Amino acid sequence: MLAYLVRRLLGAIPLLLGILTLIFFVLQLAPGDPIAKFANPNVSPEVLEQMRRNFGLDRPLHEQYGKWLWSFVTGDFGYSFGQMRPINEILPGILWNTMQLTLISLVVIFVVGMLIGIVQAVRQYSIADNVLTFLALFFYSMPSFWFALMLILIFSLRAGQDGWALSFPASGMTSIDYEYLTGAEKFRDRVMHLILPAIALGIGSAAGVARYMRGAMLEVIHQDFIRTARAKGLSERTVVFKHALRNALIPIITLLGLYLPFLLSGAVLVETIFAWPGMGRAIVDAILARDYPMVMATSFVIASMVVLGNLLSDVLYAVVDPRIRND
Amino acid sequence: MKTARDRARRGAWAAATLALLAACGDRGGADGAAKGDSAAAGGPRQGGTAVVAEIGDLSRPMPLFFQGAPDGDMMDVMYMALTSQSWENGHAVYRLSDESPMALAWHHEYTGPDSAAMRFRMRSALKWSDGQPITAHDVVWTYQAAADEKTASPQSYMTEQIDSVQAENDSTVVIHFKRRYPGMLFDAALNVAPRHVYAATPRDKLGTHAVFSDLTKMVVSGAWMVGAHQRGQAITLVPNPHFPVRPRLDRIVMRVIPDPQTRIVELLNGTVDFARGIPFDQAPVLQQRQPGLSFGRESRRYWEFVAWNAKTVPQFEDPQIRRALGMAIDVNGIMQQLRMGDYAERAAGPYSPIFRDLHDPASQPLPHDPEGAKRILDAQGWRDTDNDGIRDKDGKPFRFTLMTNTGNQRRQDVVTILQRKWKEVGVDARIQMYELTTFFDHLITKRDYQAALGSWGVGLDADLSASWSSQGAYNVVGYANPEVDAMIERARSQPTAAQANPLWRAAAARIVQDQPYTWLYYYDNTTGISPRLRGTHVTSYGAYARSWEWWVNGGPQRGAAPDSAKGGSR
Repeated sequence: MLAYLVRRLLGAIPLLLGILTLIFFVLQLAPGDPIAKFANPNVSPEVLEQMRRNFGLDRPLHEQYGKWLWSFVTGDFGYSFGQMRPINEILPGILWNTMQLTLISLVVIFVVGMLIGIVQAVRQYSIADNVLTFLALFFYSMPSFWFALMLILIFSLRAGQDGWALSFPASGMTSIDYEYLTGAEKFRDRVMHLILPAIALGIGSAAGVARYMRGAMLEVIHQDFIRTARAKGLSERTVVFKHALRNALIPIITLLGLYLPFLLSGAVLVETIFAWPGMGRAIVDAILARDYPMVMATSFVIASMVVLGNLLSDVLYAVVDPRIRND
Repeated sequence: MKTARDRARRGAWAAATLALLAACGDRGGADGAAKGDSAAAGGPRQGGTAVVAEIGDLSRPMPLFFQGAPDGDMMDVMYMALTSQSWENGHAVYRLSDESPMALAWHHEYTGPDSAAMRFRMRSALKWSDGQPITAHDVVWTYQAAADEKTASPQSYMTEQIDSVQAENDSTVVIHFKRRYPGMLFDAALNVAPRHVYAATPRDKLGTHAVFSDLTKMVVSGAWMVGAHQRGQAITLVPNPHFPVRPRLDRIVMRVIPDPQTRIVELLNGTVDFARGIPFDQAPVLQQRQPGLSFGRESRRYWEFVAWNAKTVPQFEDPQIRRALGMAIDVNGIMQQLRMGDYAERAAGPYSPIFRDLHDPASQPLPHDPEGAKRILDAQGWRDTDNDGIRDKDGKPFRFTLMTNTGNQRRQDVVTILQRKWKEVGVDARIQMYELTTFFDHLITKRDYQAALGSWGVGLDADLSASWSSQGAYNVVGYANPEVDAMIERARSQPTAAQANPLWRAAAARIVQDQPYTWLYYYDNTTGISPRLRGTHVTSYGAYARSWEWWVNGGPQRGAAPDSAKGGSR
């Protein structure tokens, strides 16, 4: 297994470099450059040209690429033209912000999704199954940005104006008086700010997971070994959660691998609507500002997560199903 | 959204950009008025926190490098200048220290041959936020650094007409201009940066100075400094202990909320007191919904246009054709349909109504006259010879692509209306939407578009050269009229505004005759203000003027702890 992991990780290096090289040159094809935002009638073309020189954007493309590559392999992601500070200072903050949100969302996605899928499979064609199927499809087909706005309008604006017992903050990660709160209050404040964006981000995907889970469980639940387990007199809980669920997990693990990049890439629309300063917003801002170094750095993080996500899936296959061997 | 300083410059600046989010609003009266101070029981009180919702985070809020909002807004908050600028009754006003604590100078005088130099006597005992004295040498260094091409300062235009800046002593500075011109006071009002902080840094590295990574270390002279900065989330402004006036508020928290709908919800929620960039077409609805809200207007600071690129579409070279296409548009109908209320008004020329001496009220916008448009098109030889509903000439249909930017619902609505209106007169417009940077690339850099719907910010200077002279760096429509060029040159060479203004007005009138753009409407940049926040002064010049006078009426924001309960400073 170890040799397999090392082989896969070594194989990922040229893959990642290839991806980043491709992105570097494709970015240069996009119209506009990082200096475009300074263009206005007060800024002469000479000043703009000097800005390009100061940022090294006047150098030939291969030279810029070589410089970027050398910085990259020495652990320096470069300087963000959009945020005007070193990317090594930016990345940890936005990664942590995004992970707080996406980790909670992942829990929502998989715990809620799997539970719903199991209930639907166990009670196939019941009223509960039909209602949950309807709800799952309803949330699955709902655009996350619209859902996010609805959550804000109902659970923040309406709840606040009508004096509901519980209303949530509409945006941000903490309250403005966060620094004056006690430890427990700080924790509560953060949780309150997390709930709406995590739901907006997770509920649609949870509905998707529920559909996968239902399908996989139904396939397993009608197999002979389940009937045998029941015939042995095992409780329904043991049959479902110990025997059926484990065998139905393979497609869910594939999904987990696919969702892992999302853990760090964040969600652009939800982060924008909830003013959450994470990776998703940073990536889009960087692309719109033609902030090449920032786009490269964030692309590297996402590409790495795709590789790791796939690797993790492959390893987990072997864990849940000993018949699968990665050697 | 442009900022006070950006706005305050020559030429109409193009900001299709945040014109997207820009909006309007007044607190029901003329701009410049403080908000309801007298209505508040007990009058202004000391202490408390105001919460501002900003569209973006601070980047380089420093006099040499600020660009756009909110960095530019911070110039009115964080840095003093020799004089303090504002906009009143259709004019730029420059105040000395007896009228504004943001002014470094208590006296100024014209001096030298032809009065082409200005001597400023500065207040003594002024200090930077780190306790170092503010001297004339800071002023000299700031102008030298701005003028140095290695610095690549976006503010270098303010030094173009300056020969030299000299400190006669620690508190007297003389600015020698190349000639006498109306904008001398403006150019003398560059915000001053602390020499002792930046002078050791090579000029070509100033733009990436380490202080931009930690704005709490930024040394300032204005009323507020950055006390805390959570990147992408919030900036906490705290009083600068060395500013001559103690602000009424204990702090201003600027929250970064990029989505306009979320800013609106936070404003309605009472969790934000001052929401920037409220789309102006939503302001009337919001005011109806929550009458306690008011809207500060940076009045008529943008104008929406259709630009005709004669370089790519030969028929656009003909002013009659441009006129006909303009006459086909029902601008009043658009303004009504999109519920702009009084946050916008018909535009008829290059000077916004905010210019009391330059705007020509007699200048009438093009009438909505589809029949007249058809007659002109017929007369110019564009007829529908093949009965396909599209006019043609020499076998070529009258067809062009109208470009605009994504992310702006108003523009998306307007292009659809325009397309329908032109179709009614037999002209086929195809719509092309670009993401903003690409839109600018086509409009400003490559100039390869055919027609464009966008908006320019209104500069607070009379000078039309950047956008309207044939060699203007931002003449994106390729407009070339030797008569206008000559008028602009003459106007620019006049020593006083009184002598230059008639020439500017004449040039504007001539430009209107040629219709290189179709002017649609001027509109406001709008800030939503909660009833809790008082003492604000939103004017055409900016939203943060005299922020040391802001105060909060009543308790803390909804959801925040009472002032006395936590930390004492809330």
